[in-house]
Amino acid sequence: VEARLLRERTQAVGSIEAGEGPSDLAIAHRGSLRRLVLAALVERPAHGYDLTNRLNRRMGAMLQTDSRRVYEVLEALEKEGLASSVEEQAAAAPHRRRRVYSPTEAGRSARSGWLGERQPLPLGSADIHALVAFSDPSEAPQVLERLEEYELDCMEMQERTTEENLERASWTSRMIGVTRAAVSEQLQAELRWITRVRREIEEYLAQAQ
Amino acid sequence: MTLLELTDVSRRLRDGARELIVLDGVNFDVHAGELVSVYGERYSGKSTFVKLAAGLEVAEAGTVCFDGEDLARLSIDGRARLRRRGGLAVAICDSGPLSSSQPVVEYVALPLTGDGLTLGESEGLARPVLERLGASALSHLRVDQLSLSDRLRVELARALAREPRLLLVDEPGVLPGPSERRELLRLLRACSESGIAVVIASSDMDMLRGMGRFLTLTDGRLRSTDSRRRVIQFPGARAAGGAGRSQ
Repeated sequence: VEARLLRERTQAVGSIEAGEGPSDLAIAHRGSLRRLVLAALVERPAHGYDLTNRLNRRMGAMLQTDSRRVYEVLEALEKEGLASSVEEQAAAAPHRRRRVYSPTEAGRSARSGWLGERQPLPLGSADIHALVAFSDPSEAPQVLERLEEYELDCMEMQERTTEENLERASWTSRMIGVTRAAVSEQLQAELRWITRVRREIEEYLAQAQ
Repeated sequence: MTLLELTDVSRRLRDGARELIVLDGVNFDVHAGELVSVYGERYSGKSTFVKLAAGLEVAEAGTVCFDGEDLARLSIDGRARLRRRGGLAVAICDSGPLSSSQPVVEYVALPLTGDGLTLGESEGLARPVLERLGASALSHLRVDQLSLSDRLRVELARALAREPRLLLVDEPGVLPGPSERRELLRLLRACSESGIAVVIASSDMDMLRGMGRFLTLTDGRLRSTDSRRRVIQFPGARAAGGAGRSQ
């Protein structure tokens, strides 16, 4: 189930890269990338190539991107006043110059706002995973709160995922059934993941005391 | 009308030197005719939850009331009577093979004999229920020779023969094919439509799809979306109530 979830997400991200028309999921991933880039900048100022490597390493197959997309997001963040940049000489190659980006105060407060923001997440959104991936221990209460909201979103989605027509076993009825089953399988994987994160955080906090 | 109500129920078990919190301050209620699904991974406390609700085990803390009666105040016999003909029935579908060599019809009928009925009269009540479940052909088989899916049908027949007002089903996800799954879900839904409250606990969320109110049990805590509904109805509730964690 988890492998399928990852594959579907990777395919969804792939469709963004290929420049296909935006699906809801693609739009959600674009929003995720913007938030991810900002979170990574707040963690440490960087140039686009370094940021891309850091994002891909941290998120794994959940969200793979390239430096072209990351530079686009950096330029957009700079235009919005959430990031600023300076040109620096690369230490390893003095003849090459590169642009290093940092968050502005507005960028830092947008990142804090993101942590406290309650918004219904579509199933498979990388936002919640990004929030966890770029969090630090001081943010544990907010992360736990967001996880709880996401858990309730998943539970409500399960309540809304109704059964196919049980009276008929036609082809269409069966195919509707397996399509809805896919949603339940993904929701189950998300609920298991939420439990795993909660346990990791609780164990970390208990050991840190 | 509230049929079953669990209030602040906790259950702890010893695991070597460790104490495991199986259920931690669980609150739960179910009304007549309601369909409720409880999802939990293996070892999440699901079966303990079902056994406490059925009066098969007693909680260390909190109360379990069926039809307004506190199960902990009843004797073991009193709780067994409640399960026989008192409206509270449980079908535990995943507890290993049955060791009894009884014929199916006798296995289904036997719990009914405690209230003055002969075995023959009880079997007369059991047969239509087996027929309703498409299990008539199993009547004369030995219960220790049943397949897992037949075992499930027989356990359900044994529970339904008692004409319950509340049916608790633990782990019904042992079905070999889509037709059996559809058949089971149709039956459980029909039970609910006929006024029986049905609570299904499973580690397979697909088994619980379309099965009414959805709750999860993880690390001993029962969560539901009720808190969110309450927050929507009473906007001040979250601020006044703190974290808003639902149990």
